[in-house]
Amino acid sequence: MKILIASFNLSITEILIIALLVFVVVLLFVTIVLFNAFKITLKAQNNPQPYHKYDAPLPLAYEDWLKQKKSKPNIWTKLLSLKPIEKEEELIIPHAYDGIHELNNPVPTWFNVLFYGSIIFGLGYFYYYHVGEYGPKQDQEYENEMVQAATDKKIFLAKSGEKYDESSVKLDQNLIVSGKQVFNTNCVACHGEKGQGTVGPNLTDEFWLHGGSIASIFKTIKYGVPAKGMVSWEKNLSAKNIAELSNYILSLNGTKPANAKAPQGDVYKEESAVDTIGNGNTTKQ
Amino acid sequence: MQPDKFYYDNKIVRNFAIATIVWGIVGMTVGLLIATQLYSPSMNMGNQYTTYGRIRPLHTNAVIFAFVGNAIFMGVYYSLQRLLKARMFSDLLSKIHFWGWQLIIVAAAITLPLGLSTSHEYAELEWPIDIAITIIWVIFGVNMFGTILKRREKHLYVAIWFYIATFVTVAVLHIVNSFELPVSIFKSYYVFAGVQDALVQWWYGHNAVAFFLTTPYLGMMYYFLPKMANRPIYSYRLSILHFWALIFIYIWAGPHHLLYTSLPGWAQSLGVAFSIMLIAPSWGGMINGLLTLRGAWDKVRDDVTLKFMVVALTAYGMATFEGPMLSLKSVNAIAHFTDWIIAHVHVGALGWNGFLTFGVLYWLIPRIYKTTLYSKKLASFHFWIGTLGILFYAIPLYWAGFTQGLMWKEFTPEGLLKYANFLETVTRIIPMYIMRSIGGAFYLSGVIVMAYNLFKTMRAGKLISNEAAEALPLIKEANEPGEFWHRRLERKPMTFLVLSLIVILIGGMVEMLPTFFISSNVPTIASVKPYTPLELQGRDLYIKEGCVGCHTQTIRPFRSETERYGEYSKAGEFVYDHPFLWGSKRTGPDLQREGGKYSNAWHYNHMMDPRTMSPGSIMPAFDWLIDQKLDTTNTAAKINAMQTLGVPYPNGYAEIANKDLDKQAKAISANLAIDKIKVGSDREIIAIIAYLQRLGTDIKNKPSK
Repeated sequence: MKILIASFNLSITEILIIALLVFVVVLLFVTIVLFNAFKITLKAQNNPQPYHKYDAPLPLAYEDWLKQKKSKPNIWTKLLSLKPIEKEEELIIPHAYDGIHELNNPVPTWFNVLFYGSIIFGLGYFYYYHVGEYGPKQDQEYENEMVQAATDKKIFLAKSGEKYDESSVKLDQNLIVSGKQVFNTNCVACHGEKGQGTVGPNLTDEFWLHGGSIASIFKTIKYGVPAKGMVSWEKNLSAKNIAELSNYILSLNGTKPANAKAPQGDVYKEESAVDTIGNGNTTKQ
Repeated sequence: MQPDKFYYDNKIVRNFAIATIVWGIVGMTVGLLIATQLYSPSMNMGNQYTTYGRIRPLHTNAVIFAFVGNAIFMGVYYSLQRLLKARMFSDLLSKIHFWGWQLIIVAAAITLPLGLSTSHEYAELEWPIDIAITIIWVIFGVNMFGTILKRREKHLYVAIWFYIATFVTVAVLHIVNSFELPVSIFKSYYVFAGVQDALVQWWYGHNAVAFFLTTPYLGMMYYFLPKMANRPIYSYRLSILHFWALIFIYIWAGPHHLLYTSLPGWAQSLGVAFSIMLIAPSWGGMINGLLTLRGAWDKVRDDVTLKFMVVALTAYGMATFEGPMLSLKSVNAIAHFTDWIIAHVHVGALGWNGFLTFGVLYWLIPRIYKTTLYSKKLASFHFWIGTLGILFYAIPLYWAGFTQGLMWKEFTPEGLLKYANFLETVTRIIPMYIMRSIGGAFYLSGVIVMAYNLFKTMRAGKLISNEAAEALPLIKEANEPGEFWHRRLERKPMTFLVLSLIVILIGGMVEMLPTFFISSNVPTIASVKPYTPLELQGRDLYIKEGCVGCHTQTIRPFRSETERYGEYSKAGEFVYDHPFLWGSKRTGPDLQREGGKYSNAWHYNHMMDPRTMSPGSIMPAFDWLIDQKLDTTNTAAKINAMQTLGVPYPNGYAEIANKDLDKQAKAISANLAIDKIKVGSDREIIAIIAYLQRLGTDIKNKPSK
């Protein structure tokens, strides 16, 4: 009990008040019952009647009960504005086609509401977009979407504070590990698992078609070289991903994988690149 | 007055019934095969004739025109005779109709795997077959109207209104959508191009659903359902209202297949508005059917034919509510091009068309064979496995469509596509594809059980080829005073025909004529030039291999699409596209801006085996393109045909076109050689690479060039 009281957080006075209220309700109920009992007793005393037995009505046969039940319209028949099925005879159109009769039921009200309602919607729709020209056309819709996206992106980048582009990208060994993952999902189809080159050129030698500095590689990945079949990744990879990837690709330099594709392009050598990526580059010519 | 004695022709009904069952099994088996190809590319069986792109149209044509088509003729030939109290007009025409239609189907089954395709969906058959279809359809019409004219019943029952509307509308749709200029016996180009061609095709495509899959089936429902349930049709007035509203409004709704494309905005909006208006008229048929069963629901519990009818009507109601919802632009933006649409059409096809056909077959075969159904248990099994099949088919695909549609649109906070690699969104839904094929297998096995059950029934009984009947001859009477206007119309079949023709022509004309004749609807772009001969040949290979079945060529103006594919499509880019190749499903990515995206070598390797370039891809290999030599003997004819259609090649270009073709082919071959790929410049692969590299590049060139 204590726990119960505690759980409701009631003081003793409050409990007493509730008890009193319950008592009053019970008292009211008792008073009404007593009052009615007195009334009936008084009536019987003034006007005594002999007692007689209550005769229960005979139970209905199942079919009769069914009839009685059906004649009451249920909620469905009301909603569908249906006439009771017994009155169907009145609705039958005399003529039959190969034994098929038709009823002359009215079109249900809800059907008319739906039908004319949808016509009004249709007219309104067309008016809204093409007569009144209130709604945006699809090219306007597109422009709004792009503006919104640009704003959202700006806000996000300002918040996150990370910024990579071809002018600011730097060699960073910490990025190589995650760059390998990006490479494996996106690049192996054309450049081979080890960067040895298949459809695309070999990425492990010192020959570069579009420049071998970190900035050039970043740029090649970002914008692609459509004429030579290098896809632009700007829309698929984030700037950070491209920076990671560029670092990873530079780290492959000189790994000499099997089945490497013949060199293409010019030799690229940059002191800083060789220094930072210390994986045997110093041995090359 | 003495009643006339005459005989109903049951043999023709039986023949169409058998054709329905046989083609149904064939069409659905092909369907099951292509369903498995979507998760297991090896099911393409390594040859061109069984590859998805070619047999997907075989599936759609077989189930629509062979299965449903024969079922329509079965239902019409059975009910028409009885509703008119007359034998079919001509037994000869009935026979020509039957065998002509089967020949057309056989021709389709041969030409489609051979890659002879016009690329218009549900109208892929080449021009000689189109002409055959027209002739047979007219024979059907003559036979039907001959019967109507010699009828012994004064008024036409509602079922026949639907048959008349079906006949006129399908004729108009088929003829207009077959305006083709033949290049050779097996090749033609559509007269319309780009946006206009798209509008014609989807006016046709949408109304093929309306007037081939819906109106004749509503007509059959109006005859067979009251017969099966022995109940009167609920409301004659509702029949009138929903019939005229349905045929008038349906015709306008075609453009909802082209929302957010470069079709003029006003035409798109007409499509949306009229699709919404279509809910009530469509539902009119459903409620008139379901309320006809009022007082007979106890029969539904025991009678398997009625069970099929109830599920059919319910599926119809669901599909016709979903359709208008999918037409709302915001819903369409997610659902279009995904499997959601495949689920939607299969609720209609498997539920409404399939189940209604099965119900009619189970009811009709024992009657014309004067026997009872061989096994009620097997029929009941068919009902349950079929229903289960529909659920297993539809639910996973709704899920797949919704998932993929949202994945295509998802961005990361950095403003990049979350699933930039299209393939990721495909591999995610592979399990759903597997479940779908299980659903399809359930459904097909039910049909096979039905075939067994019905053939057993046929063997137990004997066909009453000519069923005796009698009716009083029709006496010409003057107009009855005070006759309800529609009642009067029901006595005048020719007036009825003309009136329904006018009603169905309005919508199509309002949408098409301005798009064809008012130039502001298709703004031209100066830098867009005709295809080179090699690209044109490549384009025809693209059509032949059915690439359009999985790849769209229309980029919608959404950020998610312009980021993924490039600049959105403009109407002026398609002016030389006879036919348009926008497609309707993205099982693979859109290709409209494919040109220049990848190297020639990438395309070569990808065609030879897509999985080398995109691991996990479900695209079939197209290695025969490397072995087969490109047929250049028809280049001149093709260029001439294009010139006739108004494509501005210089005069006399046809004669020298092959020279240009060679030059471009050699350049591509040389370019491939750099990547150590040795392939002759005379191979088909070269042409298709040329076409793919051209796609969508014209607007990037400066107009001054």
